[in-house]
Amino acid sequence: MAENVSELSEKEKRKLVDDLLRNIRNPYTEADVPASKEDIIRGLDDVLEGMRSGPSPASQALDLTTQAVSAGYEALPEPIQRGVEATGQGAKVVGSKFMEFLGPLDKPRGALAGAWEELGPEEASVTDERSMARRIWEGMGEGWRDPSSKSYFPEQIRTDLAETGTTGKVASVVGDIAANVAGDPLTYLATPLVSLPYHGLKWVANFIAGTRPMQAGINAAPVRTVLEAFNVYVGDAGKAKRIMDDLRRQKRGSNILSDREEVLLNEELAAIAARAGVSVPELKSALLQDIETGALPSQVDEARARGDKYIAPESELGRVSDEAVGFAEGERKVMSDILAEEQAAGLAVEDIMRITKESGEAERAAELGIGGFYPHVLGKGATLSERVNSWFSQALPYAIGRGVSGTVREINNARGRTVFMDDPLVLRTLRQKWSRQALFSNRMLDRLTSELGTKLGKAPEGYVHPVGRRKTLFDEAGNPLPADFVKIDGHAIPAEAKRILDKQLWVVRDPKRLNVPLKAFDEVQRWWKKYALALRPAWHSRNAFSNFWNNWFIGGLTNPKRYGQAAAIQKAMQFKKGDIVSDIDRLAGRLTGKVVDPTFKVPGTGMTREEIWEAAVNSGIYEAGLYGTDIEQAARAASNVPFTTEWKGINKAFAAGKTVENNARIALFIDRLAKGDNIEDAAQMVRRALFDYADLSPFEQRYMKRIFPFYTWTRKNIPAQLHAVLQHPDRANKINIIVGGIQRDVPKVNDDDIEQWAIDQFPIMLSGKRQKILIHSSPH
Amino acid sequence: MSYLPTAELNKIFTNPKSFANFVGQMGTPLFKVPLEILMNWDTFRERPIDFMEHLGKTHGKDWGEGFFSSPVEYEGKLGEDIVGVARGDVSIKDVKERFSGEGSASFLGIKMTPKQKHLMQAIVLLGELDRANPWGVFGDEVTGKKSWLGAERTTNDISPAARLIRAAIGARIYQREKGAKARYEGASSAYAVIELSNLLGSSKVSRNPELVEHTLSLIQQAMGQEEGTEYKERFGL
Repeated sequence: MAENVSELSEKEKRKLVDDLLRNIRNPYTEADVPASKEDIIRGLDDVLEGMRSGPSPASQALDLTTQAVSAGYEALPEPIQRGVEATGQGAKVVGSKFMEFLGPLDKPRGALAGAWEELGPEEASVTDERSMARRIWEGMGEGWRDPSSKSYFPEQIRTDLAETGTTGKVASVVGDIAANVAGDPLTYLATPLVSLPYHGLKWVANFIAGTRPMQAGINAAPVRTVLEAFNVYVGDAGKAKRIMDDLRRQKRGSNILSDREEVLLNEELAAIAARAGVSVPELKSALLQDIETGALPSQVDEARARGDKYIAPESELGRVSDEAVGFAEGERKVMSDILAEEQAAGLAVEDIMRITKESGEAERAAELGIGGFYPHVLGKGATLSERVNSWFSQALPYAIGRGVSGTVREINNARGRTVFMDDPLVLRTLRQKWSRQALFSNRMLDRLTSELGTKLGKAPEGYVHPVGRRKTLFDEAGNPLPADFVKIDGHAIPAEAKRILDKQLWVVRDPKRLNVPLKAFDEVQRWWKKYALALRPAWHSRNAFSNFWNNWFIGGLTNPKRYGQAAAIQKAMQFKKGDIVSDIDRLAGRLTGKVVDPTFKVPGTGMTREEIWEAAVNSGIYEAGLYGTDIEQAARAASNVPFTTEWKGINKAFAAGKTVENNARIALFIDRLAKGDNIEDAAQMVRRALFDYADLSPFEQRYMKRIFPFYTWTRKNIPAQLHAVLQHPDRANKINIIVGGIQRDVPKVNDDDIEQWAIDQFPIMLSGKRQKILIHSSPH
Repeated sequence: MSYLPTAELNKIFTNPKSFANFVGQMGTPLFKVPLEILMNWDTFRERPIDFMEHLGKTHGKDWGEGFFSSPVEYEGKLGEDIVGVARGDVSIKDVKERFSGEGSASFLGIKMTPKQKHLMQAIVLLGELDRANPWGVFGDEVTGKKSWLGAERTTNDISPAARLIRAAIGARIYQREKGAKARYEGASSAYAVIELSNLLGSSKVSRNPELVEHTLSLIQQAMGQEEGTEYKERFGL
């Protein structure tokens, strides 16, 4: 060995470290008795003391500790020792207060299972001289006191199965859980009866909330501000919020339908191209060029009627086919209608068709050499500086006045790259979605005024306004309106509804309108979130499990067939198939001779697959999950570069997760419809169980989601679970049964045998043997 | 049990510390990680990131590895090496050897400083990949197998089967050990001794005699022994 520590060889250093570690090894590893925390800490004091004084610290420590713990254990009376050894882990989860709270729910099952153990197939010991009645009574008592010590699943079968290996062990656990679920009296109690305590509590809470002092408290500005910050609205504000949520979901549904329409239009266009003998890209290019130059017959007629100086070139589509021209006329009308609706709503959209002289001449269009308008959206050939410039822009492309002369084709050709997207169907879908976003506030106002407000009228003749008092508003019939009504756009609505309208507009306004640092922060966080989740099988499997769990625990879905029915709906209505999926479908169709029919009626619902899908989309439960409402433009700009935010690989991984999530949503939706719910009630239940991820307050969107990236899940999940535990104790008790089933035959585990970090994950014991084992989940 | 969505209630209602941990772990890494690196404190594991820096603070000395530190002889040579490899002047083997000496931690089979490792772990996917350690490609601490880049593994992996389960479904199987928590709580010195022992094996400490002496004295203090004779006698120091 070296004289100087700094000259130690690597091997010597390793030996030194190994020896150190051996000296501090756990002295309890060999001990085979349960020890309390105090015993162990006392023992450890002895260890340290021994290290200080004795020549051989490690062996002395082990001896001292073993002696200390053994002596303490041996000092216990024999019946207590027997009891300690017989007690199982049961449904107790180390470190979990929640399971302690749920424990008593299992008492009725425990008592009945205690009786069953005496009555059931296993014969009583010949030395047991107690009468049958007494044994049953005592068995019930034991089951009541310690429910998880009793099971309907015969111990002999359990033991025999467990001895056959891992499969047998799994079968033993599954059998135990199934038998105890079947034998739980709470399973058979009618829901209203099980929910009595919940309804009692709810009634009391509502009563208290309705009292004058509580109302005053809730409506006090500080309290109301905090409640609304966390998306809780009451009174007129609550009504306004519900209307706006309804509209928001409709908008999302319309956007999904736009995507589907785009796919169908592409199919139609492909058929037209095939019939005309041209390629689809050629046809799309001609379509965009014709509309932009104003060469379609309807555009030429309108320009003539206005007396425009600009003369459109000859239509390219005219040379292709009449049906191609007809298709383009339809597209042009869609774009014109969007513009007309925006103009009618008074939106300040900088659009080429609005900048006209009083004479009606499209002056700027003439300057730029175009006769129609499509938005300029950066395409795959855009340079980095163009992308950065667009990123810094505070407006979406359709709202930016055009400054570059020429059509999209002319610009792209002149620069030799696809600076701007040139697919008219993609541009049309984007334009539709942006327009819906822009018009949303107008639609909100319309709904609020029609449902909560009234049109303003004049004061009755002879009415004299009292001096010094606030001006009274009147409806069309001349009736005075309540004092808290305010004027808005020729209508009067409650002031609270107006306040919520102003507040919510932030949430729905143009998503790009953020300042640059926040945008940068959001982009980085979005990248981090995508890569933290999408490529991890663990996240997908946990997500799928959570969906199944919540569908049952909150939504009451017990029929597994619903998932198959939902999958059939998804397959029948699938419109964004990749090449692989399309090939598989074609092959499956050829092999089986069957296709999934959208007009097939789903049993129990009276609705076809297509009707259910459309109802799900329109009520905003389809694609309302974790995947959010990304800015569409970014999602379209898919990249082939790995580790970028819009990498195709990661988007496909997300799409896979989205399919699983949609399956769970539709399954619960079908289940509720089959149980007699109307569409709105069924959708409401889906939102309760699987959440509407877009339903957050402005405060939550601005701050909480940025500070806590997975805030939405937690914010929605915790109240939903708490509510479900209180409303469905019968379902909550199944957690006792599941945990008890897994931990059956596991001897009582001392909390001190598990490190704190593992306790924090609420481990479940899979085996009671010394080496075995715990299970917990990783975060997220 | 935290696999169940319902088990989130545990984190809220168990005790204030559990709730505070839950909130802390939910925080965005964009704020949390730079702050943790600055404060040299891992909030999830509740311990210093760079133990040497932690010691240095206690003793008023700059012993930490910092963020960008690398062996003196290698500083600033990464760029040259990349160019060298491209030209064919430098072999991959040489680069591997030089890399394996950088920093006291290893992540994805690459040697790095504890703070660099902490930053890299914030990219969850990379952290998962490191924990999965497929076919031991990032090295094996127990057998001493080196990583694909020739670095020694500095973390003790769970069994391959348990790693596979964890990667596939996110559940971890863990072996219970009698008295594990008591050892953790009752003998907090054990943790310090392990960390200090690891430091003794690091190149930065072994090159500094003053630091070696100091670390040894700290180990002895942590083990409850008087500073001085016994340890040195045992190892002939």
